Amino acid sequence: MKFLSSIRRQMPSLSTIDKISQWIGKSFSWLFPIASIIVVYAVIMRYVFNSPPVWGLELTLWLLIAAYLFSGAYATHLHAHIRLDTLYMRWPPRVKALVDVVVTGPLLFIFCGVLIWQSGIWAWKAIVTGEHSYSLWGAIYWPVKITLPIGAFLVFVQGIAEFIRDLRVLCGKGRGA
Amino acid sequence: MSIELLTILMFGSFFALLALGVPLGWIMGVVGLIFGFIAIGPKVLSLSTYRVWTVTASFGLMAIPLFMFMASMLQHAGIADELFEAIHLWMGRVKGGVAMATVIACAIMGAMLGSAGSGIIIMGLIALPYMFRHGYDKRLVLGSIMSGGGLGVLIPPSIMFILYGTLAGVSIGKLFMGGVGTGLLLAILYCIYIGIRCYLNPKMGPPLPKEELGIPFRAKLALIRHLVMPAFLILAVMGSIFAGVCTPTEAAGMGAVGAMICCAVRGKLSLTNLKSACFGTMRVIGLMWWLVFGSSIFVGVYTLAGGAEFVREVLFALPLGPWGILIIINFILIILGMVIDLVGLTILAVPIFVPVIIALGFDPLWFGVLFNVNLQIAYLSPPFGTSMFYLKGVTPDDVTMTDIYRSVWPFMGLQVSGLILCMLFPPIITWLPSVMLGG
Repeated sequence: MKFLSSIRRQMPSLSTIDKISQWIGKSFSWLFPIASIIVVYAVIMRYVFNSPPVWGLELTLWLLIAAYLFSGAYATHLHAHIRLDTLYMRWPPRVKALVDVVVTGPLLFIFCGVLIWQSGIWAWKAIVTGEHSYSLWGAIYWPVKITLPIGAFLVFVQGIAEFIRDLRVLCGKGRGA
Repeated sequence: MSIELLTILMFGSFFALLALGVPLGWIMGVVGLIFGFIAIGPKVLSLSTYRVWTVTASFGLMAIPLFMFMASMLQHAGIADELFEAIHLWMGRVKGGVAMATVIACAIMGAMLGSAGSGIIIMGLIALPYMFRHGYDKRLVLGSIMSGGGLGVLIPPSIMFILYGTLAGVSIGKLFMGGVGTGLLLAILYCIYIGIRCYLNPKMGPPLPKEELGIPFRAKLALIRHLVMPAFLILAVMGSIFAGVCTPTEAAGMGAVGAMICCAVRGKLSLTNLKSACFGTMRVIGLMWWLVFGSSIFVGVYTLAGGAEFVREVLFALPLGPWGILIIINFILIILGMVIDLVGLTILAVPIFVPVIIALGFDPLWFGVLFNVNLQIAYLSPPFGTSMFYLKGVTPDDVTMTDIYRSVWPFMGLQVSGLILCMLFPPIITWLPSVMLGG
């Protein structure tokens, strides 16, 4: 029971995790209109002024990459990930929590853990070697590459929050904040 | 580990976890990683991470978030209500006219929204109560909304075509154009079916009373006025791809900015609407991209272990000609599409089946459109078809799941006939792409 009470004391930090996922997801979602505007700018420069910016397409891609990778924790927080819920939705809350504690949580941790570990090594190499992109623009590459380990880390952390909540349900304590 | 055993174990554990209700993306990612580790070795970890990066940094897929954002903005411009209002007033005198109007409105919205779910939800909220109030047959109403909404998978800018094109190395623009003929064919089939049923039994879809339609011609024209800008926007987006002026990504970016302008002109470009479009797109991108990561690891491991050759050998060993194998593949896609999300299925099936199709001498562009007709059938089919759950979410309580199940059969029949027509007469798909300028 000591374990449970220690979990209860951590409740404020669970909602802090939610807030971080939400804030990051919402902030980075503004990249969609921004990317659209850059695309239009590049098209206008190409057709009207005949001088397409070398960075146009690549910068758009980089912004969108950041949006893709930071969207994961937001979707996890909203429970938006697609599941075949034909059976799942009929189960009582404690059975659902059991499935999530025993299967969903560990799978998420393995998946994101491998991504953080492998892409972390890879992003670190890009930082150390000062790698540039293989294009005309040739910008520094690491700011894009670190989005993968960071994005996976954020999903991992949000996954921990959901995992603790499911544990609470399993112990008959309600989901809490 | 032999490839037969690997196939059984990978797909077996995949389906077992799927049935438990674990999110699809995590299942595919981890099943791929674990079996890759066993069959290929530790290098699978870095290979898988590299695969995730490849799909993330794909230039082709950039069009997806931009088209989604465009769709969200257009939705906020409030086009759906007016579209339905205008079309049903023009068609209300015909028996079954409102149901046909629903199908047509869905087809047009498919061109604006690019996915099936949102069309079904919107029409479920607008057209369904209206038709119930006017005594339309329950099943006819449900079926026409779900099948009409499904057209979004085929009518450009369909997100499924962007995925297929990127994975199979087929021009996305040509796939878009290939979907137009097929989408129209299906819409016409649905309308003919509704027309015949209501002609034979006018109780299923009574014509609207005169009072409802008794508005002057001028007012009817005025209703269309608001639709001019969005319609023009869509024509410009598609036209620029057709004419080879823009890549699909550029067209999507221009469409997104154009949709914001449409909103602004109608006084709907508020901070609330912008936020809701941004956040909504972020949510969908989040669930989609992390599913794409998982499924590309799964299929990457499976093909690396020799799974694609294995499937090809099994299919080629069947005592069937090329057409027989094609029909089997269609069948497999429909069955898998019933339980796996369309995005995950596309990532999974394209690297396995497209090489087979090419080896059989078929056109991968033509197959790409057939592929999406299959997904559309799967999308509608009981018991797991996604469209039914979308619709159930917005219907009144007296519509039961059984009503919804029963309503889809005739429309699935029409979809299968459409599929057969497209297989027998390939120009339905290939004519428009063959005359386009870009590509």
